[in-house]
Amino acid sequence: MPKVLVVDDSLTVRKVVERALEARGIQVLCAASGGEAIQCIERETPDLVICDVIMPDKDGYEICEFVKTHPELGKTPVLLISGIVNGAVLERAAKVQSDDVMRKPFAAEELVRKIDGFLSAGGSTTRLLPAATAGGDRTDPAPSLGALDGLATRAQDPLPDTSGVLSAPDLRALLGQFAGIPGVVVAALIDREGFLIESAGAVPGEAALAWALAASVAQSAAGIGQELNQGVLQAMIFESEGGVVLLHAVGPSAMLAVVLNDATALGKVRYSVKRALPELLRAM
Amino acid sequence: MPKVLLVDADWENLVALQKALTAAGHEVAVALSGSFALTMLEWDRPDCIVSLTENQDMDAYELCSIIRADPATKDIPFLLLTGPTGPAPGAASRAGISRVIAGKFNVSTLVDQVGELLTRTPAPPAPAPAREVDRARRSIVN
Repeated sequence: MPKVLVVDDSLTVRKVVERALEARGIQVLCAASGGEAIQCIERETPDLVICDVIMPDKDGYEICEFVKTHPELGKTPVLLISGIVNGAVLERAAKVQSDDVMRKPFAAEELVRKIDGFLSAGGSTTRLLPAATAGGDRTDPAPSLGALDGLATRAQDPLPDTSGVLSAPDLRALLGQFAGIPGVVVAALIDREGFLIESAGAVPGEAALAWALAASVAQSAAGIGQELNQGVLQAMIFESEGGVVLLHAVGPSAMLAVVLNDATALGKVRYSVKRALPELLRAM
Repeated sequence: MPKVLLVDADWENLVALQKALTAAGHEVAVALSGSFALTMLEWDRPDCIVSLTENQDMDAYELCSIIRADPATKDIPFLLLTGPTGPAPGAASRAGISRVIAGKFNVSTLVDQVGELLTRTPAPPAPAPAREVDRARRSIVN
């Protein structure tokens, strides 16, 4: 039976991990601090370590470094989890040879998929790549005409079960974070051709809005949209009769559009988008 | 502004409820699954949680039990929205659920119930993070 150590000072997070992995027949060991974790790692030699980045005594980077420089345990995969995933976090994670970084909050489904990937690989076979390239090998099937039918999106299309890549429900949950911000009408991820990849926040009566947005982005892709993420322009904000629209590049092939009916929420939305970009990039 | 966390596997329900509570002056966060909701609590502590019985990966009873077991979250009021038959006898109290709305309800009922819970049960003060944690958070943000 595989053995996984979860290190987090939050009892609630430990419970979520424990519950999700035990249901998969994985033995779960728990540690509430860095000190406890070090002892547990030496005593139990787990097959994988899941570790919160921020803890009261030793941080997740220190735990990861301890594992990776250990003469006998150096190949044990370490998954860091963090409430903030930005360039600085990814850089530090790569420096201590973390195998991946997962953002909190997360759905158990996403965690299980990552863990399955690590355990089936039989040890640490990958290393964290810069956010822009990590998980960048996803090959989506071409969108069908049905993808333009309101909210029927690629979510229904079969996706390769690739570890570390967000599934459609995860992507929807990710977009749901933006849609949950008061003042946001809809958040949609749209590819350069104008196909709606996924959206959240639009009730059925407003599906046409997401569709129209996709179409307008497709048109603008021939012009200013092509400049997005080319080192010139990463995001733009424009006003329409329906409200304010924030358009942000998600890698070279997609754009995130967030429609607001309350412009005062723009600051919060921009902050949330910046925080979520690494995860969105992995989904692409 | 009081913060409410809504948990519901049905996105359309979630959006409708979110709109109603936002219009009533609450800041509303949403989660489609119990696990996502639980892992939100550490960073984004709500003053009240509203959940349907069935969510994506755990039911509301289990969700509430986990919240009640953690000293950092145990005092957050929890409102359960169930079908017309309501919860099994004793199930809600065993899980630590604060209040139940059974069957169909209108928006004003939900808003009133949430308002009462927020008034009756003062929101637990966010535990002061240990100094080391606070410093670490600041260093990541900056």
